Amino acid sequence: MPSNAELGVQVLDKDDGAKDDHIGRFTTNIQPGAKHEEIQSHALKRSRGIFWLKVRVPLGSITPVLNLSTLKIESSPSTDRFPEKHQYVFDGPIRFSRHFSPTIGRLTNTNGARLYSTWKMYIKGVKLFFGDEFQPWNHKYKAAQAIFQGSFAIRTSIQAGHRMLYARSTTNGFGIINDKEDMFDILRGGKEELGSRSTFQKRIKPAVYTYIISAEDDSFRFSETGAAFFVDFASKHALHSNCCESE
Amino acid sequence: MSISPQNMRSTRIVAKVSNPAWMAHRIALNPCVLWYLGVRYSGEFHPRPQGGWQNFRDDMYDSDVPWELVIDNNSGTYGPDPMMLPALRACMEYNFPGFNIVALDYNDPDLKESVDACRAYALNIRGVHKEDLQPHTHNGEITLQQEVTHASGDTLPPP
Repeated sequence: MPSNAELGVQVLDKDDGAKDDHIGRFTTNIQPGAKHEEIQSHALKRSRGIFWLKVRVPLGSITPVLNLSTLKIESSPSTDRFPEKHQYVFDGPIRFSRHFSPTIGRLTNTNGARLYSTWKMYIKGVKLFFGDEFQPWNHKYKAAQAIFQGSFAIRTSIQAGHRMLYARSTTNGFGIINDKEDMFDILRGGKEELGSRSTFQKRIKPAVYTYIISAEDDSFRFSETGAAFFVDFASKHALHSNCCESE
Repeated sequence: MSISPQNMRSTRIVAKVSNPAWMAHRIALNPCVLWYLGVRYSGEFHPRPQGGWQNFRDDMYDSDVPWELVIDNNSGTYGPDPMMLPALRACMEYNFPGFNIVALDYNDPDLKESVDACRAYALNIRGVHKEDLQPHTHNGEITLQQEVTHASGDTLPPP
């Protein structure tokens, strides 16, 4: 094997009987040494974790030989009493991002900015609590019928709105929720009046939020119910959930 | 066993890993399934000092009282099953342990009372403008919907 060869690895999980699930893939070189490569999902290019491996070249060998037995995953056995029931559940830390609507313009006061903000938080153990329960769209609700059974254009525009709202941007904020103080920080905000002594920036804001817990990635997504970007969209919840299309 | 280009393609790395985050989202790979599945849950929530906003005063420090998150299933689009409210509550407690979690059905009179008190406090004590409670834009402001239309070249696919 040439020393500049590339090793491509596909990672699958092993299911009894059923077809094995594809986790992701990565490529690495075969230079000797320990490597850690990010496994990327095929379809969505998401990170699926880090794969550790070690390439050794046997002494005296002219051509490098890659020994499969040296591929090694660092892991420990599950301590769960019901590992079949609770498999592969994300257990923190909770990371979040704060996104600003592109329509925010040149707002300078941080109170106003809340009405152009949306938060996305990767919460823990969703499957643990919700099991196999999902909430499909409400067939009895007119606005939902218009979105999910109605014209393709409506879904397309909600999805485009969702993409703009949650786009990666340099103005996004990021953080980790370690304790209630971190959550308080997110809930704090309020009026700041110039020349007045009343500033509520550092207080928990009495505000109502619209949220969804996504079936897509277990994220808790929310924004103030009065957020400006909801204007003219048929459903706040669908804008957050991305109302994934059927075809 | 050495790997040659011939057998490399069929090499399967079987991962037995205890709890990797990246397997939590298997269904995410299929948008059709996703569309069918909808969401895990949806609704509204608000923070409140224990005892409700109606019993709070601004001369108290936020740290003087325990805080609660009141979370509900108020979502017409998904109409989440009220039977899952205890699961929602447990999930929120697991994630936000510093808060007392109160999960209520959208029809529950206690929910309306709590939301009303929260909004009243915002309007009367914190000087929040009434129009900020509902989505609105200011004169001449471009909405996200307009931005979407603009970005797609003013032509949406035919229905």
